[in-house]
Amino acid sequence: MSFHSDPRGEGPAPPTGETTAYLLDRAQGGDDRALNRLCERLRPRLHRWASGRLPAGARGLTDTEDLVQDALVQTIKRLESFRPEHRGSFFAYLRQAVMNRIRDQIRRRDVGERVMDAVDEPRDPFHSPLEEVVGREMVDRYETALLRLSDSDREAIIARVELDLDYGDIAGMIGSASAHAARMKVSRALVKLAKEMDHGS
Amino acid sequence: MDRDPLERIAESISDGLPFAEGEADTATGELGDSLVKNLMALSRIRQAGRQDTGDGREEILRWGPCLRLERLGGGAFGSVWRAWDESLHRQVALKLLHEDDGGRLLEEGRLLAKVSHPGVARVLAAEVRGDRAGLLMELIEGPTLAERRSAEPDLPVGEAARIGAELADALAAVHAVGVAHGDVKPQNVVLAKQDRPVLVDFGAGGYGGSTPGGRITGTPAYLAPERVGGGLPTPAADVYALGVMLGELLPTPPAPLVPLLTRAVADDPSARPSAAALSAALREIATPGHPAPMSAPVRPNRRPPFAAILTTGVMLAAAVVAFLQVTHTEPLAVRATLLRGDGPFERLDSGEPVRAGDLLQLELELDSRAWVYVLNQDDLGSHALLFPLPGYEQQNPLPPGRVVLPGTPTGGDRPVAWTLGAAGSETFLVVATREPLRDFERELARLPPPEQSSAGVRARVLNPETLATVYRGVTGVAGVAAAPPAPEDSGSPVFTLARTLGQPDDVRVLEFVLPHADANGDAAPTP
Repeated sequence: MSFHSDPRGEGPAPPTGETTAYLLDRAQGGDDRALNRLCERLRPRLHRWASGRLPAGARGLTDTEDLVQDALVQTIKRLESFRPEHRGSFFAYLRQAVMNRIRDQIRRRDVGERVMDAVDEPRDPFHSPLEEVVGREMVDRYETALLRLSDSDREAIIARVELDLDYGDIAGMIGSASAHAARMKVSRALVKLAKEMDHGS
Repeated sequence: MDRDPLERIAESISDGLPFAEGEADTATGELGDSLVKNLMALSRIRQAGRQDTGDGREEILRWGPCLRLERLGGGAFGSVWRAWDESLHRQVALKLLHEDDGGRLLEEGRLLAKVSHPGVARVLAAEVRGDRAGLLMELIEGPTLAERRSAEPDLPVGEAARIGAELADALAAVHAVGVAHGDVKPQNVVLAKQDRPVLVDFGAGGYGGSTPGGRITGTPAYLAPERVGGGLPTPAADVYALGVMLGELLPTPPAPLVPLLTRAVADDPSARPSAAALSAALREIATPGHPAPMSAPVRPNRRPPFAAILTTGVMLAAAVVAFLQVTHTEPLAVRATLLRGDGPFERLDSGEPVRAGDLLQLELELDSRAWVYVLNQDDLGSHALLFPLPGYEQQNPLPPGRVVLPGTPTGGDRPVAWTLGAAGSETFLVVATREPLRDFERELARLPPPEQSSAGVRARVLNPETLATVYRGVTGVAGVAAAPPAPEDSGSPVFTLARTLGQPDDVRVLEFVLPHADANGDAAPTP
């Protein structure tokens, strides 16, 4: 007789039991299968996120896929340095790793542009889809305000707003007692962020 | 409804709801132009991050007027979602069934819609759309009782009794319209504002009782015996589940409650009290100003009365199983080997004879961080807790990899071993899990450490040569001690309990039975 609940679930929920925190834990313990699952889980989220951040001008120079893969692999190589109490910073670290690579791309392109294509439109050559949606100034305000939040608030927002992880997963990563508590945490962090965005500029 | 509008909007953004234009106008009046602009930008950033934007998955995420926002849970029956009801313009809980036979669900939905009780999530609609039956219910926000208990394991008696009374009352209201809940468990109780317990998740267990595949719905720890064989959910089975839950909430129940709680978990459904009777009795305890006499607490360092611990054991196993339902499903991989000697070491298989004075250590290999508990019992019935013990460097949780127990005393520089006394056969039980078993730990706290136990095991410091040998000689571990079927009469209640823990995959229970060679000459190893 099996009492296991049916693992077939629809929608964005991760497979039962394999939370990101759990996979990270296993991956840290040297479980390659968990490592692969972790990559499978995060790659599309990071890819989507990066697509929104990568300026049109920099796209095509390097495939976003490569960029994300590189960030993931490098981050996971350093997995051992993530102690459980700090693993809440995992998403922020990953995002930063991708962001750094995007900046790298822009810098390289910037140099190339000046040498090879001096007539390129100087106005906002590095417009990313996200900037198209909310405007560059707003993205700047968002980024600046995000940096002024506490680590755990920033982590909660990145995990939910940018990477679309579900609350249960976020609870496991940031150490909230429940999915409900994680939802409250994200909401409160968003309130702080919205106010901070006002003070920033 | 005077919730802070800012907080309300932030929640919608987090949930992924689009920021409605009208809402923005209202909010601007309350919050100011600039803040609202920021919120709208955050909402768009959130929308950009949503998994389902623009890839045609929108329709899959709909059910009738509801946009499914987030999966809250699921099981053999289907899934439960936080959803946005566009016609009601509010968030709701949407339960969708896998099976297309929605007739029964609709019938139950109509009956449940008659229930108006603060402790029962209100049913807003029940209908079949396409091939999926759905039940639309009031969304109750808050931690579940299971989550609350894992954060605060020892609820005050008055508080526990109040929660129990309100739950029993809610259940009585459900039973009054002729419906059984079918899956009463702490995960299905949400603590709303002011810690008001609300029963959620109807139509799961209550619906049909068993799926076409013959699988029983419900949660094993809370499943009444008559339902294990495939019986349908009944009010009496709900009372049984409630009884198990109450046992967890009130580990030391006030004396006047004991007979009623015992009856609630009676094997015979007809012997169980009604939910209303339970509610009345619990309310007496919960009402302040009526200090009820407490049942005698179990004294530490002495064996608790058998019946008492067995009862707790049932409850405890229930708590453990329930807890595991929300954690990992993959079994923990653990290899355990008993090592004998002072160096060189000899690996002992279950059944191998041991002698008084033998030095034993337990070598473990864990595939992830784990909580480990080691118990010992000799055949005279004396038992002891061998791990975890204060005063040792090795404590739970143990890190992944190899570890040798009992380990090194704090401040010491040499590991110690357990020394066997001159008793009969020795049983070692190793329980390993990925999550701490808090209730089990409370039971274990009643066991004496080896030094104060009459069990034949003492901790002894190994000689200096041993240290080198321990870490040199046994790195390649072979021979996994699988738990042999335990003889019916070989266990103390705690042992009986520990063995039941192994039933879900997540708790590994390994057992070593070592007969004493001195007891009857050369004992033959058991297969």
